[in-house]
Amino acid sequence: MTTASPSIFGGAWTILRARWHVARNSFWRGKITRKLSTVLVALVLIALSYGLYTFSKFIVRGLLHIEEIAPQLTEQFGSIDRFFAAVPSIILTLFSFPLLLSSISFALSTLYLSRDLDTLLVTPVPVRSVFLARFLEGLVTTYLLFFALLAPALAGYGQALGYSFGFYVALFFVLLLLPLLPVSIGALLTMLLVRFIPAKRLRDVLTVVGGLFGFAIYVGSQLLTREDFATPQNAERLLRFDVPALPTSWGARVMVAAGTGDLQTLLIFGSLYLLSTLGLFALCVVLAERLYYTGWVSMAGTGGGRVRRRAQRELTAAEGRSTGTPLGAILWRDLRVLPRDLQQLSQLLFPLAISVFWIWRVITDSQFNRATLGAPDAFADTTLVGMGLFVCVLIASHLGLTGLSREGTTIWLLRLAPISVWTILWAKWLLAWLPFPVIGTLFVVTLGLLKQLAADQLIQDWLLVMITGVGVAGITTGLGASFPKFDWQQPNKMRTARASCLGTILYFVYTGLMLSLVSGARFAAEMWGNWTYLAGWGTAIVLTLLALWLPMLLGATRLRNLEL
Amino acid sequence: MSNGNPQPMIAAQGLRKEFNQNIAVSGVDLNVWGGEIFGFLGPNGAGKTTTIKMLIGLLKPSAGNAFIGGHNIQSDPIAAKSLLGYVPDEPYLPEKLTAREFLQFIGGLYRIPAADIQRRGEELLKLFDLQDHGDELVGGFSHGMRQKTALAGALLHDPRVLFLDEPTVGLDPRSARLIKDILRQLAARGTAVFLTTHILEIAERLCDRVAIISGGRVIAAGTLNELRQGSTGQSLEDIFLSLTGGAEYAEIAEVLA
Repeated sequence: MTTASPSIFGGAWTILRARWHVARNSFWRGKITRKLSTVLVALVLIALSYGLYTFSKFIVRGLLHIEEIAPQLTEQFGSIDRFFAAVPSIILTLFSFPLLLSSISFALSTLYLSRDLDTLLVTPVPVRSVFLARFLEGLVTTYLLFFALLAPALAGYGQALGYSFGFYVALFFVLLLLPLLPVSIGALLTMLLVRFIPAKRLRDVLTVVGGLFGFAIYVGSQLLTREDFATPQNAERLLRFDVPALPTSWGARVMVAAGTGDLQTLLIFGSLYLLSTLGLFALCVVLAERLYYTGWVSMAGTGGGRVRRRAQRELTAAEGRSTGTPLGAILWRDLRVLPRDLQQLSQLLFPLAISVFWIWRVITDSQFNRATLGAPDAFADTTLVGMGLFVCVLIASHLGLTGLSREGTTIWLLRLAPISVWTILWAKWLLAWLPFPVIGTLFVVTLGLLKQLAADQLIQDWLLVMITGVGVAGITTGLGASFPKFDWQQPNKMRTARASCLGTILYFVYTGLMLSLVSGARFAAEMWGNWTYLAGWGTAIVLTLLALWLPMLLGATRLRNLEL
Repeated sequence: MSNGNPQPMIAAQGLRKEFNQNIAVSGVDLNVWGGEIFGFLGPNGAGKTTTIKMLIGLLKPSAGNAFIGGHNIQSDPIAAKSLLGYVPDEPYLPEKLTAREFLQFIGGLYRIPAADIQRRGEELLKLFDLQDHGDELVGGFSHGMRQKTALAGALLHDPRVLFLDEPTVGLDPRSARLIKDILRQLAARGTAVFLTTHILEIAERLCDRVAIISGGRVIAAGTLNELRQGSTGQSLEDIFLSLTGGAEYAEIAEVLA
């Protein structure tokens, strides 16, 4: 029996309908908490939309009527109209850039790394249908953000400037077509890149690039001061985002022209906008027939990679002694795997980069140095220890909360092995504690030497960091083992909400208590004698033992009862 | 069949498992002695994998006990697990480890001395024709290669009991034959082998005894001759279908064809 092959749009509709059924079933048959949280998110979005609309209208009306600001704007730009006319273009351009970056990542995961692709691409459905369905699927979240956030803000802007109804109609169509541009470019780039770089490797690289990008934004926010923003030149710089040659600028002109009744501008830029967005989209779909399929089949031949044989042989003999115990074997395995898994490593990239950045700033930036370490001794010590702890806690929280979840579908190996659950937990605890002796020591020693602390003070600060690390690692490891998640597909989805929320609250409270106990004891000793200092430390150690033992006990109980 | 051994290496006593008031396995009793290959057969969803998981400790029985080498898997898990090896039907292995590193990891979990891990690991890699792939990441392996790597890991510590869930699925004929030969050799050395399979020819040729489970209950158990006496069919397939039902599906198959 033979069947007629569906059309491109028919095939895409079939695939999209199936995805709709999946989404609908996930919601209707999901737990009540999931349904409630979905409804809550929807309500928050609606409230946010209204808030943005109101805020935008208020700001624009305020700027129009604030006499002291208006003359400055007039002096800067020649006319207020030009400034306000540039706002939609600037916003659309600024929104499109991150969308381009995220669309590459999304195209990669939906076009090449989705698990149902083998099933889809062997059916007699045109490849373009699969591509089209995936492409449109990717637009859903974008449209949600655009129409929930961007549209209300621009609608408020139009309302404040008194644009006619045409502005809002044009706004709808401009936002409807706008995502086609960056998403098409992202899809085309992805299809081209996958021909040369394996999809999984490309995903790992993009994850690292994303992490570095986030770090760059953080560094920028740290290095730029408020004074850097409050200059007249910045307004001119912002106007540069209104690039007449960009389709986002054409879309903005379409909206403004529709709002002011400028038919000629509307027709010219409307045609350009339609041609560019729909044209690029059409080009993408046409090229997908060849580019997409060849990229997908080339994935079949890519292997998992190879480790150099000579290094492997030498290490095996040397590591034999340390990995001969189950705890050593688990720790060694985790230390081996983490650097190889770029996606997991990227989760640690941000806190590691922050620690390096802060040390560099303390060494080179005298202003930062004064702000952080220029305070009286006791506060400077607390700041010093606090900085070190913060970075280590960031890393430890990730390592600990995902300790057991990282096993994923291979958890059966540990549960089957003749080892107690405590062996597993201690191995995970050790890994979570490792940032404290390594990075914590580096932090405390470096900053302590810069501050020229006395040796005994330095040792006490170092001990505080190590001991606090014991508790933090216990909290994160225990909670990670109590609420694990093994069916994750991406490393950033390894944590459960319960573990994350509980863990964050507990280890920040615990860290705060530890700092307070020891710092407070130092002050108290000056008034009431050394016994208060010892009492403070003693209490801190007892608190640490509790922070270590109780979560780990919970984790062990849950792990013992874990069924696979 | 006890082979003179007083104690079965695998013993299930009244094993029962419920999932949300659905009874997956109900009252499974069986014994497997060292040196025999025991086949555990049943239709899809009959409870084979659930039974195996209760026997090896990955699931906690709702009732009953499971013993490995005389050790209760629930109350004395470490002693029991140190005797057994397991190869699942879908072997999920750490993708970012090489095959050699995987064996080293397994060796560490079972407290095997480093020199023995090295020696035995290389022997197993050579046996399964994986020596040239020993430094490749497991993530790049085919299903068959993963299956063989998982089997190498299960055999590394020389288990007294070996559980295999669909051991030949995804293997080429040469590898499947190799597995069968290895299982026979293990049994000859006194290891108890417990395997599930849908391929009845394998069970017919390989197994000393079989048990057939359907709807969570063991409905027949014994040697092939014993099963034939209780049934009209001659082949294991006939016996299996007559016990579990299936002849009525022939009409449906004709319609679909």
